[in-house]
Amino acid sequence: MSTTRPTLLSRVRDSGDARAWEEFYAIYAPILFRFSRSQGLPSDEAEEVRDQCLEVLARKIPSFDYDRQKGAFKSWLFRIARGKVIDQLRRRREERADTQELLALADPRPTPEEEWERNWHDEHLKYALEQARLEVSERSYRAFSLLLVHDQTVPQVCEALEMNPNQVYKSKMRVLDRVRQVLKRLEENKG
Amino acid sequence: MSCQPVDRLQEFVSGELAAKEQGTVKKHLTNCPRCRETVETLESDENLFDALKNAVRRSPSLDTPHPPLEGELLKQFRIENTIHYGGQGVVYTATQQDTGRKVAIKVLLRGRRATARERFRFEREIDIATRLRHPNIVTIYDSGSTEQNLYYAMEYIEGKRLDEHVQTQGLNLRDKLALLHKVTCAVVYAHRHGVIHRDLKPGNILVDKKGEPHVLDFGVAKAFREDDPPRHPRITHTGEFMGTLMYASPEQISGDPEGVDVRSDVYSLGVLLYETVTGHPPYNLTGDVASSLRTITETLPADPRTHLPALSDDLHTILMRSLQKEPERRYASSEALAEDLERHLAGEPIEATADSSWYLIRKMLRRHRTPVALSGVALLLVLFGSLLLLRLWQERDAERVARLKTHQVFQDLLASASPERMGGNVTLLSVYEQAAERIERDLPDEVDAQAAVRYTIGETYFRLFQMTQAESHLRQAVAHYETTHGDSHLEVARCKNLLGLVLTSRKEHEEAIATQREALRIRSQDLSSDDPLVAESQRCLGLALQYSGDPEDLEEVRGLYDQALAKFLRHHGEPHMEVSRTRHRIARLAATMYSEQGAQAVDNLFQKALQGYRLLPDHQDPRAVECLSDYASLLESQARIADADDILEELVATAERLYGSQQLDQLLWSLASLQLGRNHLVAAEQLYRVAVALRLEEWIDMRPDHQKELEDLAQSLKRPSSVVPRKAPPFLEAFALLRELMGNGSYEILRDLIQLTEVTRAKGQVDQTERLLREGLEIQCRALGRNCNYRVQALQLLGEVLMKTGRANEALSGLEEAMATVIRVNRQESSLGSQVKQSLWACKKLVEGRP
Repeated sequence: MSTTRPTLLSRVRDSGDARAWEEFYAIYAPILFRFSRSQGLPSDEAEEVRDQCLEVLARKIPSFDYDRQKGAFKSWLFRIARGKVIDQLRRRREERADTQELLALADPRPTPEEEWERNWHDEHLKYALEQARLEVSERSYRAFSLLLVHDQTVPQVCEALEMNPNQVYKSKMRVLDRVRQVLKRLEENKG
Repeated sequence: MSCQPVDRLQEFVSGELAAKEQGTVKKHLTNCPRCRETVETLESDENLFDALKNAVRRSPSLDTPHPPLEGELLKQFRIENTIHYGGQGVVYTATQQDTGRKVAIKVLLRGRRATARERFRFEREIDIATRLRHPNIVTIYDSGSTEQNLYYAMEYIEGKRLDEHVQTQGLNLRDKLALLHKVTCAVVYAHRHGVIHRDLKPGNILVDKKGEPHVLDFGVAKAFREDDPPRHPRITHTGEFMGTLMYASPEQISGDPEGVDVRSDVYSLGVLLYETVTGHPPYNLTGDVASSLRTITETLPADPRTHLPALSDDLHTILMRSLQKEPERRYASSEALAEDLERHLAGEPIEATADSSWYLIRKMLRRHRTPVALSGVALLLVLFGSLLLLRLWQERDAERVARLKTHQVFQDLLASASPERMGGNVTLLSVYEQAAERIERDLPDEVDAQAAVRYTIGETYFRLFQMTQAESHLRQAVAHYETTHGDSHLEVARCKNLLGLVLTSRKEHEEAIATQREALRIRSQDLSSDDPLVAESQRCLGLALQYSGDPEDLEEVRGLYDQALAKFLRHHGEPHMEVSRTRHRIARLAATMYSEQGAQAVDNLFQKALQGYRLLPDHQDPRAVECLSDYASLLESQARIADADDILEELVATAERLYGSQQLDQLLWSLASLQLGRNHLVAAEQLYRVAVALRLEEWIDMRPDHQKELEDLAQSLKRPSSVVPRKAPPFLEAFALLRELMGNGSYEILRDLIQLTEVTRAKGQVDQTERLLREGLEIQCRALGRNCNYRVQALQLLGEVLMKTGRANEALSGLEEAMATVIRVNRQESSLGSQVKQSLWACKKLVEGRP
């Protein structure tokens, strides 16, 4: 997920493609929102920052040269987000003269770059999982989600859903296979 | 050896097998490429699974990958498939357990964890969509919230998107137009109910197997009626609008949310029409976003004849008119577009010309205008249209137009757009409101224009019985005129007269009287004492005094009315609206001073006033409705029920002619509540009967399966009470049926029920009141959630009823719920809040007071 898919980007640039925009929004809006939250903004301000960034994106994408280097989009978007978050924090400080905010920034927490990296990664995975869900049966997905989200063991899942272990494993494989395909489509698909 | 089962291989991968088993599998793998592949997959699956687990775990506060469905939702619905996973929500197909019908359920993506704005938007979507009941709009059956989920269930449409349907069905041109005409009618309906869709596109229109289109997804819709929940300042997401460039109007694209009105939907319908008819989009949007934006805002659509050379002139005009860049050059409303489509389908000539006349007039005026003076006119012209100027324009007498004084033109313009002629058209009202804002923003120096528009808006609200809004606009009008002309100008007096009437309706009697006295002072000072304007102010002052309720004043009131009547008679002769209005006032006053006048005299006064109204051309005065309503109450108070019924029948017919059946419904509720305020119970109940009957009749076309039931109920509600022996009207059955038809989804019913209990309460019908309230609470508990005001009110009223009938113990829990809601929504200070507080306090005292 270090590269951002040229195809999605170019499809988005070609603004007639509504589905591309939907996918684009579904992936990047949460990344931007969570990043803003992780930098200490309350949720309404994080939404504000998210929307500001998306507006910049809509304006600037046409002139963005994604071919230039690998991962360029990711770091470009990071710079935009980082800038907007800093603006917002500065505004808060002006309003409240709150030195705690400054101190918080100096916290030995993950650096913004690390946060960004992690969000980027997580959101792509989650998006892929959401898409995968649409392609498998509800039953398979339920088995999978019991394992993943609810930390259940295979025998527990078998009992809850009246499946045998072989079916549970197959469900898991099926979901993961789909996830992998979505990720592959998102990640490389350079055609 | 045959292949190993997956679970065994999995155990092998995770090293859970015994050493011996482990060896067996290993050996098998060396010989079996298929199992080897499986193992490789399983190994990499482990990594992926862990990564997913971490991703999901790291942001538990925000989102598990899907909202876990639970509680009430699962009890009521059997969830089947996921059909859409979009930005805002997941849509499932499901079966409603108790009805067995197939529904689509939309669940807010992050359930309880959604941000406040997302929740607000979702609730607004529900709110807007539940208001709309139309055969071509997807019906919302039910909505609710559980611990985790916010959801609504809607009609499941098995069908195709509009574009897919058109492509696969091989429709001929006529079928295509008929289909789009239906879509347009659905949009007209939404507009009439104060809702702009803002996101009309093929994906939001599903065509079912019978070929009926259904408009859905009011997620981006905007309501422009005044009874909306407060709007979030930045409601439009970038992401929403990104997806639908092709169908977005130039004003939507230029990012000016204020510039978006019903004509934006007209534009989107234009794109849909163009695509459907020609099979091609109007623009070629293959470039980047910036150039697409430019294309949409600047370039003309490709001539549809390049795709379809045989296209008729009329259809060509319809397409191009809808797709104009400037909203003012498009059809002024979806109705106008629908009507032209209808005409075209019927083979009649269409109304639209290649360009809007208003646009041409404005262009012409621009050439002739004296710099500042006419700019306001030009703007108003676009917004209101004017018969006068149209006539002038048709005479091509441009010079004369240019010479007209600004002020005079204004008056004529506003007169042509008078609320009485428009019959309280709410859509138009929103245009006014926008006009006012635009004039104040764009033409800060045109203070007279600002004042004139504010006055018109205030007057329109006044006619719609919406006094709070009326007051605010009229005060602004007064302030504007006072700034430019000082506080003794005739315009100030005109505004003050109306403001005074509004204040009287709001029971601000002292200020009302002072305002009317001031208006009369101004007019008497500037005009001859015989002037009809002075008479008007005298009548207004009389009214303010009459309703202040001080019997000392009644002689003065009588004097004022008599003077006014004499002046009007001298000036206008008979029949005249002003004469009738004044007679009406005198009759009403006489009814109050009953003992002195004698019943026959009062009756004569009303008869005479009505006679005057009836003689007016087309019966065209809205006051006639009020006069009929007053006369009906008088008759009722004299126990002349049959006569009262006749008058009420005339009232309904008159109101329908004046306001159309759409507004009639609303008007009847308002009139009923007015009668209730005067304690005229039979008249109020009669009006409610007709109002509910109308509501039932609205459903007959939509639900032919219930036709008989609806017709019977409506009939028995409408039948005058004198014909049937007096028994309780079938309100309860009517509302139960409406509730069934509306799928329990609308708070409107609850609101109406509460209003209706005003009658039953006043009549002391405790039992009926209780049943109506319980019926209402049934609706609410599954509809808009528990924060709804109407629910609180219903709980409070039910509590009172229960206490009065010695069931304080039963009342307690409901009142506690009401109080909890009041506290939750922080409305302790409101009057409803304090009523709840009082009731609860009284109830607790009753309960604890017992041994």
